[in-house]
Amino acid sequence: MQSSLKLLELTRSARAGQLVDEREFDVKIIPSKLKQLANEHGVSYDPETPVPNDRQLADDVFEAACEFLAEVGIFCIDTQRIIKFSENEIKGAANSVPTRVHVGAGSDSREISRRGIEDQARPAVIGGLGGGIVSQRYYEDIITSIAVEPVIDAICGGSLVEIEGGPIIRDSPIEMHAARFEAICMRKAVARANRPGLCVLAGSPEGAAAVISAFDPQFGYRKTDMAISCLVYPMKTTLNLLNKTKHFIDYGCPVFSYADHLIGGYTGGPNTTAISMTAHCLANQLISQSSVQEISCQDIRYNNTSSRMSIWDHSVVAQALTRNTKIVATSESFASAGPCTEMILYEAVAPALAVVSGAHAGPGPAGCGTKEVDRFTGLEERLFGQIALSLAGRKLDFADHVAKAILPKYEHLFASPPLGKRYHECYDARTVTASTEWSSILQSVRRELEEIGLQLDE
Amino acid sequence: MTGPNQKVEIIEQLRTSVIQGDSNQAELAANRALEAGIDPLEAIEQGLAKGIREVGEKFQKLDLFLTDMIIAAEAMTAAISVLEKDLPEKGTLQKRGTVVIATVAGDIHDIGKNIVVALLKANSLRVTDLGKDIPSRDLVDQAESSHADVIGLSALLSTTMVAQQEVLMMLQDLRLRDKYRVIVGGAPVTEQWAKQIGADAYGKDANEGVVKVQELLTEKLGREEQNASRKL
Amino acid sequence: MLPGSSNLLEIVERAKTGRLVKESEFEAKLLPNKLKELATKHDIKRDPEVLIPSDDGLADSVFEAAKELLLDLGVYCNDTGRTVKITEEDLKETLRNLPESIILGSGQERRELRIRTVEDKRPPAFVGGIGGGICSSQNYLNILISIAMEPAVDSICCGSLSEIDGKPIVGRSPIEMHAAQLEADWMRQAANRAGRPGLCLIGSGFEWAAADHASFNPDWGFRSTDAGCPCMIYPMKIDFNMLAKVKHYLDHKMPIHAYSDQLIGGFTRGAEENVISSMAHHLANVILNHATYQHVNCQHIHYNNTSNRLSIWCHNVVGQAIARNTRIITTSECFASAGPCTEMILYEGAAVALSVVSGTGLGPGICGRATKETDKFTGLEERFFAKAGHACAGMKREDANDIANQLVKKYEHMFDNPPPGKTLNECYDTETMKPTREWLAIYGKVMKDIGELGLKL
Repeated sequence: MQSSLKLLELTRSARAGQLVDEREFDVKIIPSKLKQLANEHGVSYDPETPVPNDRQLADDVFEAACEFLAEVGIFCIDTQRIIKFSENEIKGAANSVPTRVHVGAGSDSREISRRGIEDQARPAVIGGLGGGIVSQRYYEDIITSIAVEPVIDAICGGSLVEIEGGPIIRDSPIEMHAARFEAICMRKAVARANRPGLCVLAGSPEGAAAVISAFDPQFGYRKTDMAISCLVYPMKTTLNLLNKTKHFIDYGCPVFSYADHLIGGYTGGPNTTAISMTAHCLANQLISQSSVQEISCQDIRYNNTSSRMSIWDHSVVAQALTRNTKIVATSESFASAGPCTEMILYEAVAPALAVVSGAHAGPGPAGCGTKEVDRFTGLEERLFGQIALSLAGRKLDFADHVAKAILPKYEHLFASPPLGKRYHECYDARTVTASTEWSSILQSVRRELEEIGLQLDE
Repeated sequence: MTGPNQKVEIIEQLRTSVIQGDSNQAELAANRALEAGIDPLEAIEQGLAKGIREVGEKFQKLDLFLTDMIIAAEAMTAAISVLEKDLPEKGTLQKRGTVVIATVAGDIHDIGKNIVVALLKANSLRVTDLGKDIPSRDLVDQAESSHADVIGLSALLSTTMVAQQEVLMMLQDLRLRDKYRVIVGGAPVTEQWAKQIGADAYGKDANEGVVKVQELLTEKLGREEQNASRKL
Repeated sequence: MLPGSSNLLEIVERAKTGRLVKESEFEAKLLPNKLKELATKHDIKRDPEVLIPSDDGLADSVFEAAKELLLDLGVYCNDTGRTVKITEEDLKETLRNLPESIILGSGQERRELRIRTVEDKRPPAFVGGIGGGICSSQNYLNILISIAMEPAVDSICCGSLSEIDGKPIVGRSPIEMHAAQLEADWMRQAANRAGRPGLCLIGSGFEWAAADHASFNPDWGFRSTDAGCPCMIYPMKIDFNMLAKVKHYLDHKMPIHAYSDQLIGGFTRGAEENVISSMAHHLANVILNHATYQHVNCQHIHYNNTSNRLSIWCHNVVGQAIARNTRIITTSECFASAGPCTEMILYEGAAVALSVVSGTGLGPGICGRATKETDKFTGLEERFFAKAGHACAGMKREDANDIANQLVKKYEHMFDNPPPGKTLNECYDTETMKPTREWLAIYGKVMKDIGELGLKL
């Protein structure tokens, strides 16, 4: 049962736990423990099988993750101390999660339920920018272009790069103004798309005061939206994050958690990152009492989740979670390429493949690794959703075949991907339709995907 | 050799420069004292310390104000840093004790602390004022690098006084607790709270804080001297 | 400046681009030197025999000096280390747009606060409450109830929670958020228990913006008919956290009760300089914090009370400066040295209440033990404070001065060792929420005493 009082206990634990040097935690404790556990549990990465069909592997990853979390704990940056959990607590929390969450309102009310491996049930599709950077000018238009896509079940906002022509200053009235603007913008956009009840993933501003001020039934986020919380990679939290989570729970909306991982970062290669990602999901359950969790293992070189290693990680983590917990998970899509390119559409396939492993799809795809302003449109989201839906009920081996077929089309371009176009360069904002060029690219890629074996709806 | 009149005049200059809060004048007078061969300790006691005590008394009566105390203390500090060069051992002044003081993490209120700092300096104590909103770890590190004897922790909010407890816990965890005496104070802080968190002393107000700091220093330094002589 | 909350964005912009100044330089040199210079230039002098001056020229000089201070130095921003420039146009426009009255509370508890004049015959509004005084989580609700039950209270100001269930409140953490929520909930409960659900609540007592925001809730927390409570940070400073709070209040279209406690003997020097500083803070509060109404608080640096001679003089001079030159609505806060269930606290309250003749309203207060001892607040001293204030309405300043002098002589010799008084539990029946006989007897005695001095309650 959700209770914000648990956050008080966590705060007290964060003050009383073992004092640890942060640098030691990052560069010694985390990597060495992961390496040790990967060896002990025989977790290894096979680049030839991007989507493994290996239940034992999934269970090994899960067990290693539980041990990892129990031994290492979560580091609180503010207090420089460790919050510890026992294995019983970890497994208990992972299995006492409600297996479904209701989001959205009216005709856009959706039930997002836990999925199994090769599950026939329709996956939810979370569209949106995954925190990608947007200008104030085009924010509403971009969100509208995504919200009009019928395949989208919920929508995630971006991060304003500036407000009223100036930078956003954390913990100031400017941040509050930006947060309010964003909330109003999201509401306007979904209303424009004629989907006023569409669930919005809320809470991108950093500062707690700004986030809290945007949760308002009159103009802002509602109880039918989902509030975003996270852990800081690797295995860390802050009082600010706990503060926001407390408010979300008090407010009464479901919590959507994430913990973006870097393959090649502190958590090492794909095998150790899979253990860590799973552990983070377990930790998020304990700390944020999440209703939905995001899997996001990005290649440190390219900031995407479309690489071979990411596909492997997303699949393995999704399988580990669905076989051993009640956690509802979704697979995030970060692409290297931008809109109005073939590559972004090819890349959209990769994280969607985790649907076969038990995940839902999204947020995403977010183009250009989310790091180019306004490079997001509804069209890539449409295809991403269609791909995800087409994978319901398919086999792991099929997903592996698709991965092997699609990767050669783009992975050689990672070092220098096509950035594509900004929203207003490939969309008509007035009619909220893609340009002819962009639409043609989509049709062409659809045909290729169908040739690979994906049966896409219109 | 300095004539008695010149010595009196220089010491008087030291005293008045502090009362006037004139750091330049104070430095000048301190240099003159060194050149004239006046014993630095005498210059401090008879000149600077007298001046600061006078300012302190006037502040108590509100004939002078906090800002006058602050600039007087600054003038005194400026003069001492000159006179210190000529002390037989640099640690002579440090033997009076060193106090490191700060407003704790998350708290930007420092007027209470500033009053205490001014009064401590008025009592010729060596004080390192770290400022406000100081993270607990930084505070401890600074105490170490300053070779502090007493750590003073000020908090003005009920939500920040908990950081006083954090500092004490940190000292414990780093096995440094016995090295320092810790005094706490501030508007929401009570004697009960001080005991609860294991502080060595509590200052109800600035004046009491200063008295307690001096008691803590006397106790600590006295004990250290005793231990040192036992070893010999 | 832009209207509404957009003005806050402009303030931040000015804070980012203003003059770079070291904080210590600003507060320990620039400000006190300027105050000293202005006090001399405008011939602002205090006659030690006079607590409540009848000198309109003095009041007007204080106003002019305050304007000069604000225009010359601006306000210091802690976050950027720069000063925020205030222009003549900002001042003129803000003062021009001030309303003559504001509305607090709702339903039966709807109150209209109007500007007051010097020697105004109308009864003053009364901000009851604890003025940030320290309360235990065990007794906070009862203290608030005892105050809310006093019919003379027009709105109720929060205290400051010292712990929750014996555990410390960790700043900027979920615990502080929780504490702020509890406080708001208790304030609403107190108003409901007193049968006054629409009573205007002034909170929260937590400085941190996120905690303040988290305490807003239509069911159990602060509402748009309550009042937000930002402040200028002494001396002459702001920070982004405070402005973030103001933004939230403006977005909720609620009244804003701003404050700016001064310290006589502190950075703002003596009484003569403090009145200039206090007036300048009032002006800055209106421009930067969008204050709808404010309170005057000039505390003595050693006693932390507002019942000493210097403070009383300051409150009255500032009150007159405000009333004669602006439409700012202000009240006079009472920090007493003594605690509840003593004669002294009531004499102190009466002395501060006299500032009503200078155009102020009343409160917050009476806050006993200068707010620094836990749970030393009850409704009875608030009742007394209100009565004293009402009795002063229409009185001449000269008459009020005579009474003030007599009152102060009754207690000022006890400032170094004031009677600590009792906690609420010790002088109230918390079942019936009525004062004990002992406390009522003291109250009766002092009422009589003060009547003999010329203040008929």
